[in-house]
Amino acid sequence: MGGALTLFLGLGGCSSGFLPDTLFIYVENESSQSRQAEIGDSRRVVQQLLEDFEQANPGVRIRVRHFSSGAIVPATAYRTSRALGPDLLVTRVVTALRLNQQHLSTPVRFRGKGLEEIHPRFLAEFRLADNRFLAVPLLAEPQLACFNRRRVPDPPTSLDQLIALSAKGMRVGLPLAATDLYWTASGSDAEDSLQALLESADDSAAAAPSFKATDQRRLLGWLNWLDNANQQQNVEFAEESIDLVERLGRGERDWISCNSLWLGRLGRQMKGSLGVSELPGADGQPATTLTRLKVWSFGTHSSPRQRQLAQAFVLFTLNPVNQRRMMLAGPGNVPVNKEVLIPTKSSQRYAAMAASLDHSRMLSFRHPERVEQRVGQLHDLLRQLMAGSLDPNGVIQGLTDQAGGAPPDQDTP
Amino acid sequence: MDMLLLEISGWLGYLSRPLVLLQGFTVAALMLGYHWGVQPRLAARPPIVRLLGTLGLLLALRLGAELLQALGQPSGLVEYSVRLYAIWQGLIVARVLLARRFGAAPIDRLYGRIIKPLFLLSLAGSLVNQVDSLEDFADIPLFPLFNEPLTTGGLVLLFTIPYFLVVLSEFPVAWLGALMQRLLGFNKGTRVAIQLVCRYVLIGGGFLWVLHRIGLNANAIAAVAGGLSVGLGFGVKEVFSNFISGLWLLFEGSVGPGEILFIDGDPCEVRSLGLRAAVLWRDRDNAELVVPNQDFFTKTTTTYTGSDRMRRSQVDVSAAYRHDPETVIRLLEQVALASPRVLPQPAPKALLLSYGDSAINYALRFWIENPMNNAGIKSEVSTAVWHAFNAEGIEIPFPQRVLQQPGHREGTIVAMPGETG
Repeated sequence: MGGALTLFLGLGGCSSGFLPDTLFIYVENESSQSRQAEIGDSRRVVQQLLEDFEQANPGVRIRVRHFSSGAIVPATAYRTSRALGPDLLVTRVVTALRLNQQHLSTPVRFRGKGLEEIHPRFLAEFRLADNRFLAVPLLAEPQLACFNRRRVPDPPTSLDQLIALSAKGMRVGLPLAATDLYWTASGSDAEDSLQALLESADDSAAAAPSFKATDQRRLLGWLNWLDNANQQQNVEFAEESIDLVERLGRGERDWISCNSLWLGRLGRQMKGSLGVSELPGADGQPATTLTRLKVWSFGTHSSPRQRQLAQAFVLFTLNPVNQRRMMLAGPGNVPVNKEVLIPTKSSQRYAAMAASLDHSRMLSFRHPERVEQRVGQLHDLLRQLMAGSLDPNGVIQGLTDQAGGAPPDQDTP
Repeated sequence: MDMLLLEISGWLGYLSRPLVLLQGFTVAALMLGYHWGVQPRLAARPPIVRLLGTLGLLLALRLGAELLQALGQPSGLVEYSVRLYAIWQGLIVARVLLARRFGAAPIDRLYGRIIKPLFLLSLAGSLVNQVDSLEDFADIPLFPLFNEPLTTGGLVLLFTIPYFLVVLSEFPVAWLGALMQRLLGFNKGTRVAIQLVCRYVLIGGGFLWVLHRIGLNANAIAAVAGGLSVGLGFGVKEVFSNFISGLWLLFEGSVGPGEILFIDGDPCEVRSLGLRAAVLWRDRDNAELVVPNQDFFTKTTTTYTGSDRMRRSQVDVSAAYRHDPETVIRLLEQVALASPRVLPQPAPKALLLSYGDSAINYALRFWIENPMNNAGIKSEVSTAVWHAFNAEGIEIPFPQRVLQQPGHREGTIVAMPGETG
């Protein structure tokens, strides 16, 4: 039985002669709310790319499907259980790692110099011990300050200035998600503590004293700043980042913290009045942000021909020409290929994105479920802080309690 | 449309995956083996044996899935086919059981109108969902409609929602009507009217929602409405007039279902009042008359059920001159009162109508409960009158004519040619 099955599975690769070579790609959207906007932007960026690849590989068809963050893993699991899963996925890093953890994607080895041009700081996180890659970076999307030039001629360069300008009438919009608020921690010298909190793999009681002793004071300072900001008449926190984007586009906010993935949409809405800058940190220094990457992952049930095409397509999207093309087609995309020159001198927008990327860090997603859980817990506590049902000390207490009650660690690839 | 075809043809790409083929072959081999090898042998067996055969196939499919899992291969498609086949067979069994309980006709109607279309729709969606993102599939543009692209999802909505609105709205609306009737004490006609209006509102609102959902903007809908207005003015004026007449009549209550109307000399019962016409039943020949609503709205209508359901009926009879009219009248009234289907109140009334050539003409007027039974009751009363007259020696004379010829003795009756004796 096993031999017959092996023979049958081996013969599967020969079937490409009379069947179309089709690559199935799943793309993760920010949320179900932003689906149409993201699909629109994504189509504009990749359409030419797909056509060029199909032209270079006659008979190959590429089908792109979009799923929200909450749906992409279940959808992939559902179809993978039928061997109908995608050949490739474009997702956030945390999603890629969750896919890998659940055996919904498979690490791939690239032969030759395929990935040599990728910036090592983006690639290191995904390299396995046997030199395979569980994901491959595609594009970077830095965090930025987006504002209305007409209302804010000079954007704030520090957190204090941000509060001062809001007191003078600048309407500020801030996200409530912990990863999107990370940059505000750098202005309070609490970014290391916050990162340690989010990345912490050890929930044992032994880790708690370290958190209490060294990080508590810094996190308290950060939470006090958030609490103070929340008291300001012109500062507003939003659950979903797309809410802030929509409000800036409608002229209801003057300055928001946003991700570069929204620049296309904002540019179409605000045209020349859209301003972009680095996020403000402390003492006139730019904030430290978290790098957000879009990465490729490989599906588990591709035929040999589909896998070969998938690898070829990934390398196709990573070559300097196409990385540059994607950068220019999508206003929020920063290439991960280090050979691509970013026009920082001719474009303030690219300068801000490149600088933001230079001042960014990557969260370690060795334990993606844990990070997601921590982000969720912190989100809940911050929501209570903004609603006034907890004070900063109450948030610290909540974090301490949760650190002691988290589930045990799980194996990761 | 090209994009849809390209999309569907793209699904063939999955067939290049050996694990997909393996699952497909497993399902196909078991299904074909059953239908060609086993099912013909079970055809003549009792239903329970055939059911066991079906369960055997399900078990075999399930074992196939387990085997694939044991070999470390995906088996979702085999499990999916097991579920699908089980649901289908479950529906068949449920149909048989329900038909025994409620009769074949209503269950056939339920399956034909609701269950089967719902199953097919779910099956189509489920099949697409196996290979594609339903959301993305629904977003595939087909062709422009009023400058907006009509998508696959929009097209499906456009056909399915109105159908299911028409079919399914019947049930909640009937429940609502019955509830309101109980709470507010409506009569049957008003309840039916409210049900009909609610149903039209539901269907109309649903249709507008579908138009909005498929992306038709308000201007396009206004344009459609404008076009309809012109259409109403010319082509479909009669249809619209009938529709409005039907609504009005229902609220007025004069032509509601159950009413008895007098149409072309016959009492007819209103069976239903539809969008365009009313259906009436004539018991004389068991015919159904389809009468445009507008006719009731513009012409005089005779109804027996306006304020009550009683009808006054009349039997005409003659008696010879030699009988005392008071005796005849009393006898007629007694006969009517003795008839079981004649109402005692208002009391039957016999009248001397006129002095005829051969006899005195009487009318016996009486009231009956159900206007549709008039012919039968009249027959009963007329028969009873004959028997009563016969018993009392009252003659119902044949026509008589007295001819007098000059030269003959006065009072001589001359036989007419052809008469004997």
